[in-house]
Amino acid sequence: MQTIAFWVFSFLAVAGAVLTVTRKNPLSSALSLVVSLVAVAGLFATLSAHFLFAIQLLVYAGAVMVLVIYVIMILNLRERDMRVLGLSRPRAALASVASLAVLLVLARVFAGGRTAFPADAKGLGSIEELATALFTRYLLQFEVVSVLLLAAMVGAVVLAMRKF
Amino acid sequence: MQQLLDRFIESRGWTGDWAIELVYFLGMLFFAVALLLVVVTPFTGIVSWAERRIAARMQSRVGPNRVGPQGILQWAADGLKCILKEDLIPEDADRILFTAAPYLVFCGLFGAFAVLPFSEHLVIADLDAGAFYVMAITSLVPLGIIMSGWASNNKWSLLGGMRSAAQIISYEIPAALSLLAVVLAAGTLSLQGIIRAQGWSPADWFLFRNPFLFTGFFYFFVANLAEGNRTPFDLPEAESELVAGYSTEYSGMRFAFFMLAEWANLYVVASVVNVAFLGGWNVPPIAEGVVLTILQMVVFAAKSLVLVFVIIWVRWTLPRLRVDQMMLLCWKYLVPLSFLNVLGTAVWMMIVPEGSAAGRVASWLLVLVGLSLSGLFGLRVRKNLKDADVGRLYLNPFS
Amino acid sequence: MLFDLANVVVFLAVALGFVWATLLASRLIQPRAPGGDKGLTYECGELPVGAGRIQFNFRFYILALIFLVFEVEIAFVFPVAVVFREWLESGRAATAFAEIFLFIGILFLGLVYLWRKGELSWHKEEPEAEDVPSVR
Repeated sequence: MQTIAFWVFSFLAVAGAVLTVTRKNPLSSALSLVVSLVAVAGLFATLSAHFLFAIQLLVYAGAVMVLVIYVIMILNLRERDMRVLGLSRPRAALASVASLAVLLVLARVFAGGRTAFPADAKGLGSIEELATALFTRYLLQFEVVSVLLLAAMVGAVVLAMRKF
Repeated sequence: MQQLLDRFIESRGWTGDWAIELVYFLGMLFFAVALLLVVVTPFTGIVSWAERRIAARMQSRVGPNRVGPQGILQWAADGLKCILKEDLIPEDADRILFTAAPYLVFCGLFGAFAVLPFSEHLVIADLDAGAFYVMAITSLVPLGIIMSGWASNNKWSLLGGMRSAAQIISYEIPAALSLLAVVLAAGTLSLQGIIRAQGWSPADWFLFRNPFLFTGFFYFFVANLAEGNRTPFDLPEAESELVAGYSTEYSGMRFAFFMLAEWANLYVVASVVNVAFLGGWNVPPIAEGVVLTILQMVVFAAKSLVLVFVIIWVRWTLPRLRVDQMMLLCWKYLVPLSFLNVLGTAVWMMIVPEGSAAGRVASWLLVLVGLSLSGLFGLRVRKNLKDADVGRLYLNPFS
Repeated sequence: MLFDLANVVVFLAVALGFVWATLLASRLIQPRAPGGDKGLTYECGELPVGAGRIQFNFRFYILALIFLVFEVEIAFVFPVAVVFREWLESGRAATAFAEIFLFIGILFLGLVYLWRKGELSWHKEEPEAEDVPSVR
């Protein structure tokens, strides 16, 4: 059952991602991206990673997508307004295959069968484990993230409100 | 739920991974379909009827009273009517987005029912990250709403969709922060765990645990009202200015799904508030077995339904806010206050250990405060009724 | 635990299926009489004027940005809040509180900044913005 679920979600995630880059209408692309992100959440669910599942839905499928859709709507792009990117089909295909290969190699080198949180009785990466790690081992990073978020907020507002 | 299926498998003497997995899968499917068709849909229907009845009585009207006794089957008639209606999609609409939006909105809200408990053992899924999951899955709703507003190619829809999404995402912050204070006190994200951290007596509820959680309750309630687009925060659907907001161009069953989601949201909001602050299904230890389960269900449902009534009551009492007032309330009052709430709760937990004498006294004092506040409110209502010359008003809800 | 999450996924699938099945049933029995002005969008009974997708207030975008930052923050603080009680019982409360306080405090500075810049008010005094047809 888990294997079937994995394949279904993987298929949805990949299909959504492919549709995202191939659809002409930006909002249809955004919808495909939602499908892809939700399918990734489903993949986390098959790993019983509760917290990641919820985060994926909350931050990516929810918050980030709302922002993306707002941007698309504010720019009000139509198909006719869009410049065709100067990339021919074969070149685009080559570029995607090349980046896929790089990603696979990187994944192999850096992850190489290791997992940050071993699967325990409560599932992969339970909240308590994650929080303890955040509080002890990754404390500095945790606090730096908050500075980073602050910088992101200030930067976004400064850039968005600049008078053109 | 799992225990039930385990027992079933054991009684049949089935072995083998495939058989067990299949039984689990079919069992889950059965529970999900049963909950959807037997509980959620009729319940939301009946709430829609109740809301119209209550609204009517509050405005000295009669309300729907023809279909079934007291009109209680009105929702079935409405549903049937919607199914039989022609489903129109405007010519200039974006067809894909227009049809996808109801799916997102409905699944976003219905998904929350998967973790809402009904009693100690009666819950579809007691997720480790339950409270977080409710927030996450309902965050699909604003997406659907913006999509519907944009896809309709109608100015009213676009305005309504934009406002609605902006409102939902703004109020998500104070709602999440208030919930954070509860999580601090409970030490778990599981909804069942949060309920277990409370007790049956009001002094054990998180509502009266400490002064910060007491005020947090109100922030959470208000923020959730706004997230559900309920009056006084119903600007997205402000009939007098925006026709029907984002659902203006929808007709037939698609429209019905937006409405269904709105009323289902009433129960979701009420239940989450109930779980987080009002002790959920906790009952005094006077029974066990099936009786206990039934008692818990009754207690949980009673608390939730009272909250549903309060939400409806608020809707038909208060006037609507303006957009700028809505934003002001959220970002300049609720967000900073709920930030303070989180820190205050943490400090309180360090100074006053749980179960200490000081903590108990504080809880009971807060219960007293709560009681006297409701008492004052009751007196005020009595005075208003007297001033309003009750003789000419109908107070009987079934007349 | 796996059971619970699988349950949720099945639940969501059932919800999707329910919407789909109901729409299908409705499609099978509803009357279909296209044509006329039915395909027009509603604009108070008049013929629609101009494009439906109008320019709207830029402020919605800022709001979404701020929301995103706070949402990420909340996503970080929630797991930490979960273990706070455990840490309290094992006597490390001060450390835990200091960590949460620092994290939330820094973000609170962001809120103060936005407030001072006037980004939290819906109507910001900006005379140039008047001639741009915008929507509140």
